[in-house]
Amino acid sequence: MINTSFDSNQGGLSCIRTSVKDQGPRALVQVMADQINGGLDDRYDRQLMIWGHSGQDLLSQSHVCVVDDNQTLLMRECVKSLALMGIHEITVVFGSSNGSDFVNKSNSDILGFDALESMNPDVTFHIWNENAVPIDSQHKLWNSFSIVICLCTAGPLLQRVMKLSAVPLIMASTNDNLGFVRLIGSEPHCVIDSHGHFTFDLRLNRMWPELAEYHESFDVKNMSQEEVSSLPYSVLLYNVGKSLKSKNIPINRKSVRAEFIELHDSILSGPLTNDLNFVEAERSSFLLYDQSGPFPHNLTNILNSFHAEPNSTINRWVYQFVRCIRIFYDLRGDLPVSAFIPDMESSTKLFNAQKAVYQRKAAKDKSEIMRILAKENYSLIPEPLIDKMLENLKHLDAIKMGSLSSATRTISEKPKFNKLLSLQNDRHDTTFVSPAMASILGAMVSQECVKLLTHQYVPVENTLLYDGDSNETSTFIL
Amino acid sequence: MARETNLVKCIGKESFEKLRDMKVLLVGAGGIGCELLKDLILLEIGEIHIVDLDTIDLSNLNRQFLFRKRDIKQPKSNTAMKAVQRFSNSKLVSYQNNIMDTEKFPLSWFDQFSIIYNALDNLAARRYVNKMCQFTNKPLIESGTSGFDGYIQPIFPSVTECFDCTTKETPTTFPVCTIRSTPSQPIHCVVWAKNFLFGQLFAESSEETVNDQDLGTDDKEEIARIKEETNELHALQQLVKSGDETKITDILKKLFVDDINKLLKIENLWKTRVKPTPLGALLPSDNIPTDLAQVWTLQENVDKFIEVTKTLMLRLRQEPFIEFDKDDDDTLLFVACAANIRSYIFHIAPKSVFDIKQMAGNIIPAIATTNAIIAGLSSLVSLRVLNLLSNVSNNPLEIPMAFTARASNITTNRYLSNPTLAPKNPHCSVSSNIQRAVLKIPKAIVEHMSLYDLNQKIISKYEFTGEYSVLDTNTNSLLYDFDFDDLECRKLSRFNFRTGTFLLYKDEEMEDGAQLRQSIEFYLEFVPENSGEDLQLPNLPRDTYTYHSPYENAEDEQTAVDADQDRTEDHIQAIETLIVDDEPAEDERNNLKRHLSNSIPSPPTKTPKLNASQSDEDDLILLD
Ligand SMILES: [Zn+2]
Repeated sequence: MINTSFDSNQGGLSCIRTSVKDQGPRALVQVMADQINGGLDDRYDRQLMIWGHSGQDLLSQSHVCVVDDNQTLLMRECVKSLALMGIHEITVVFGSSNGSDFVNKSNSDILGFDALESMNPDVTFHIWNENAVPIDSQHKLWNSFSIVICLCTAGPLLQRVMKLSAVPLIMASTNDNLGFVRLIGSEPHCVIDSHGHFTFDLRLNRMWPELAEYHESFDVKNMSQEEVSSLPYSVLLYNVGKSLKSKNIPINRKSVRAEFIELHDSILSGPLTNDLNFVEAERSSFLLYDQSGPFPHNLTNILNSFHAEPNSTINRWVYQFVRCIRIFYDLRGDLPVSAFIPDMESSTKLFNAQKAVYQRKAAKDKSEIMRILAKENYSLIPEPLIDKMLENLKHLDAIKMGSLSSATRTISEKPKFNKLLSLQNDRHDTTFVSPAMASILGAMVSQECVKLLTHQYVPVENTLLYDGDSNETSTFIL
Repeated sequence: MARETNLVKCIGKESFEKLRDMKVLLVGAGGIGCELLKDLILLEIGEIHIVDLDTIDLSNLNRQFLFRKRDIKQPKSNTAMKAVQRFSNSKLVSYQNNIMDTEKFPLSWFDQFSIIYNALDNLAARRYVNKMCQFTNKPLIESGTSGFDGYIQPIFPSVTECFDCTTKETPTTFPVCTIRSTPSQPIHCVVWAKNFLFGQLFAESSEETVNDQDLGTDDKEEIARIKEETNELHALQQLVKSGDETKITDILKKLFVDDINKLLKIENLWKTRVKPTPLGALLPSDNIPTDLAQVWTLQENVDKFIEVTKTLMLRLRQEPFIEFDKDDDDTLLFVACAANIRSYIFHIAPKSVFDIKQMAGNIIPAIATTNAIIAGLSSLVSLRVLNLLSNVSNNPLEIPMAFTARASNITTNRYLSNPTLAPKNPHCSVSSNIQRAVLKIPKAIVEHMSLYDLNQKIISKYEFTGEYSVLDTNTNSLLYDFDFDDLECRKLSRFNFRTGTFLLYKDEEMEDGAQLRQSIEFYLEFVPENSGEDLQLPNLPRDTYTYHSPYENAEDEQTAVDADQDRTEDHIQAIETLIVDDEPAEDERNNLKRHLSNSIPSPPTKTPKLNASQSDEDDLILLD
């Protein structure tokens, strides 16, 4: 439904929903529950594969505000993408300085408001003239937004947005064939899942007693062919590592490979590639190299990014969690073990036995993490999120957001960026933008907005410049 | 500001006028297509033709913004056109057809356009349009997306790389033996349940026989078993058709106990593999599961299997046959439960119905933003391809393509990578060492002219001297070569030739360094009787090229590859992950049918040896 009001503050107030922003985390908890009860949600099928139910649920609890002087194509492109992806509530605020004191609801535009409104029944729209919204930037209306997208390049509306301090802000504009997107926030942004390349660590070189005992329980050299074929590859790896150590041969790719062939040929006939568990073992031989080391860089980055406890709920939870991981690491000399181990070509019985060893240790480590969290008074983090982060330690991260004060700064090494800023100043009233540029930039803005809202994938850090002539993009911190 | 004024300011009056006079073709009205249609209308292009065979599905609505819930099941092309018509200054023409339909879209039809935009979701159509562009010398903007990844590639025929200049990954198919005897991953069980089991039990019955070459095994015992099993399934189909619910336990026993026991008897299979465990005695219970996101126990899968098989048997009384459709819950549940029971038997991790839906539907992730970016890039670069921008070079080799970078990589400083277009690959069988022409065949001659007569006319006119071959490239069947002349005496009327058939004449000298005549690909066009009795062969400038065997010159190739490396590293990877069939469910089923089928219509084909320089894995798959 569209909710339009031009002249009365009353209308404005009626749409204020308290603490919409704070629903994010609650949504997250709900999500994990949804994942268990959820059915098939066809409209979002294709994007659920990208950010999952947890991401989609955060979107369906978000309220995004798009601010623009004119009702430009860039603004419509942004709103279109946000609506399609299922943002719960979208508020558009447009300026009155150009005499356009009405919402252009005529049927003259492919992306007219009537079209945007009907695109997704899950989305609630509010369209405001700037005269209808509270002047005070600290007003709770402004604080009810999850994110504000500002497409103005000058004027009083921009001045008002520039005073918003608490809400994450995306600024963007395009002129000729240049465009930029900038992420601004009062604190860094934490990523719960960067969706980076999947890796795992079986701790084969840093075993705890039960894992060592399990691996020691196989007398590989005296097994039948059939028994060897049913071994999980980690057992093969362990034996190769042990044998190399006893011979004082340094462990590297070459020595591991030679040792594998020797072990294989002493028991089995035919080429090594016939035996899938050997093939897997060789492919995973990196698990034998020393992987223990300093506290992971991505987690250190999160701790160093914040000088104090973050204000935004999800950021705060990630930060608190990582602090506890650090405490755990200082106590134990290692990270907590993940309950998840990769599929292995082996007999089900052996695989399940091995999985149980990891699961027991993971449960033990988790309970210690829970104890530390409680001790630090971090008891608000929902347990599903804790589980997710424990599985996902390598894919947590934090990025630096830009500051409001540098929003209009030029930088000498980016002449195109400066050109764009000067075009903005010169042509504020007569921007001409090709429809293609509006489509590209609008989609980039929405995409960054969704990364911020879901805390998944890595947003631009923190300014992106796009040149439509060369298709060149550059990213820089401003 | 009016759209027009804005545009004139962006590109200039002259270019604007040119756009107003232009006719363009948009192939595909899906994710990229809806966006492109909007972008092209906003460019005020004179006339836009939109082709799409598909109809609208609920899962399209998260990105195909021209469609609404009420449009579901309506044709995409026409619905998209209607949605934008009242805002459009462009003349719009829509077709609900397959772009490869030669009757609807003969070669001459493509000739009317200034540029062609591909917004397709499958490999076959992409390659086809690429070839038509090579024939008509029309620029093509190729594009694709998958999740956050996307690409655009402008193609200037005979100048820059064409779609086939780099090899593309084909949709995964599995050897029959993996699916039927030795599954090791969840997807193997899903393919078995969907393509094999469901197809045999409920889909339109087809006489399918197994072609030994496609089995992926030489084990006599295993092959015999696979064939026997197919025949037994026909018997099961009769059980299903009988509608007798008491037979469901027989079906369960046959599929999950007897068949597994028969496999276990083939001892060779289990020397290096873990043996499957046949389904034990299970009593049906009343706790039928409902949570589709949860992984069900073996018992729950069996219970649901029984329930949904009953439903499908009831449906067979009303419907002559049932095709698998991921959005048809009964068919989805049948496939999911059957796949999971098989997974339990083969010690493979079972999956939730939700997961299996994605696997069986072969759903590729898709979002609004990537499609909008890619469509924007496509329309933006087309202005350069059409030589309408004055401030930048429009030289083909200076025009950039674009790949969106992976959204997960925090270290990369690029959102897009933008290599300039590469020259065409000299070894590409589509764009290099080939000439193309339309061959007009008067209907009057087909009854008395033989393939031999035609071949003789062609080799003398175009100076083919040594060994040569003739290939029908629509079906990839060999019609003639130096040791296959069985079909030469046939009259042309006895072949399946029609307007739209491609005939490729190719020099077959295989000695390294030989000077070969360029191949010629003819597009056959049948013309009415009264146009004369004579076969007119078009004049072509005949060039030669030096043949390089890829085997003898491996070193040269390596150097070429190395030189190319820094430019293409990203993109080869990107293209491989991107050029995927959006909904290859159909294709995959067809592939399997191809594997299992012998009944290809005339002309009979034999297995041709592909010329080494033309060897192309895709073609191999299509060959029977
Ligand atoms: Zn080519």
